[in-house]
Amino acid sequence: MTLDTRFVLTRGSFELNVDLSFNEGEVVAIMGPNGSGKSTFLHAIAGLLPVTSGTLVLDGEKLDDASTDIFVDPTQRTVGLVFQGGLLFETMSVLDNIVFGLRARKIKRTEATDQAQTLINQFGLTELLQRQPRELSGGQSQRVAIARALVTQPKVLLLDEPMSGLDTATRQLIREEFREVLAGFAGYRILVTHDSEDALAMADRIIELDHGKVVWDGSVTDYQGKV
Amino acid sequence: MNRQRQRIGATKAPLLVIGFAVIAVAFFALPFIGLLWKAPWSDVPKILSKPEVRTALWLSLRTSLAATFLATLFGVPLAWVLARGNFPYRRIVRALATISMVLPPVVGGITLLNAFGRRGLVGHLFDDWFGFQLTFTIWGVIVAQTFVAMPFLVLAAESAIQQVDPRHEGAARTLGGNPWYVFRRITLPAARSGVAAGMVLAWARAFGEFGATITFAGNFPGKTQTISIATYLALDVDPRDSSALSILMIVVSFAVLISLRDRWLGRSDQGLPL
Repeated sequence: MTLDTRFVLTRGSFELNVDLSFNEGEVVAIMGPNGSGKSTFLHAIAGLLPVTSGTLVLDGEKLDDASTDIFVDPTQRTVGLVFQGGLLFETMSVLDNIVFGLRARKIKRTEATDQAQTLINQFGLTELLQRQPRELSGGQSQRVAIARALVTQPKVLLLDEPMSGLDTATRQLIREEFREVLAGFAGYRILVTHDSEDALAMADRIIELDHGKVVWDGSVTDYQGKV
Repeated sequence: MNRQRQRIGATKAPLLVIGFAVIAVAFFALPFIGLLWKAPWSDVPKILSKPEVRTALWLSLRTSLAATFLATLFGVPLAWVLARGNFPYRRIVRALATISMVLPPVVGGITLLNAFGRRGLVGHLFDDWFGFQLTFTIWGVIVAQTFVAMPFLVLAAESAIQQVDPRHEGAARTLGGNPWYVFRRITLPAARSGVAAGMVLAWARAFGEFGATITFAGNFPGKTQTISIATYLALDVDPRDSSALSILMIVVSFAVLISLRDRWLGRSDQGLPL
């Protein structure tokens, strides 16, 4: 099974032009400078931006096809996106953030909490459930954000700069934790970062974008050889 | 950061600006001081306990709350459409939705008569089909108040909704939230301070409404005679009555406006020491 992204996405004068295929089970790091199209790429997979031409296919199902007007709404895609900075909902508690995806599917709060329990334990969030997002540290926010994205059991997990805004000490800690999280997730795993250390520590494959185009695509070993 | 804060604290406020600001405050304060100075204090309790005064005050409280409710019910969705919608003529729609703020209220009342009066564009249908008319009823008062008060809510709510980070709404959509769910759980809670401020302003405007109400709903004691109409009419009969009623309205409105926090009006910093 594969996730195939063969599309062009134009926003103003910027053009993202990719022809990439992802395999289930591999951890892919997408690298590149600011404005190279990394986040745009994730947003297209999540359905927050429609492609301008080409197709986006997940396990044989077309999610977006510019030529036939097929566009699966983001609410219907089995894609979990963790935004840069976590982007927790400030107006609700940690618990309500985590179960948001279940509550949006009309699952009752108590049942949703039950369903989320495994994740809550796994991420060590039990003590934080009644806190407000602004009371969390950067690392805690990221854990909540990932739990929130995983609660609906997506096939694809997209992480946008999960380490940004964290200090070096927390980074080391979280990096180890993220490796475990990524290892425990069976689907497609794509991670955006501008830090090659993060990429080398967590990914199997590295893709480099520049000005909306792929300028490198290869295994971590090859990448290390290149650098 | 800390250093910068200290530097701002050390900045001197410009004297000329403060001078003009003081004149502006005096301009607003003097009419009230004049009223308090001339007020027939010994008669105030007696005047305010007159049954017709209490009836008018009670009517005003009920109608202004109903108008605030209607303004919120329709104004918040309108504010969302103006803030988030992408459609042609948006500026024209916004102008239309807020024009009653700048119209003389009497003109507003006349336009309402032409639309919802017994012979009005829509009003004659109500009359033909249901034998129902808005003019000269308590419903007319509520409609007139809603007409003049809703723009305050729309503008406050629109600016609050514009400040909600659209990425939060995007995050909610990727988690499976349909548009209504996202609006209810994400957008509205994040904009709640602005909406609340808009509700208070709308209520204050509805409570003080005079021109559109008397034009559209008339002046029937117990039915459409609000406290502001009663105050104006009392001026003809006994100026002392109208002074006492004015004091009552000022106290109520001032209390509400004082309760508006800086935060709701978009100010969160400490400011310069004056």
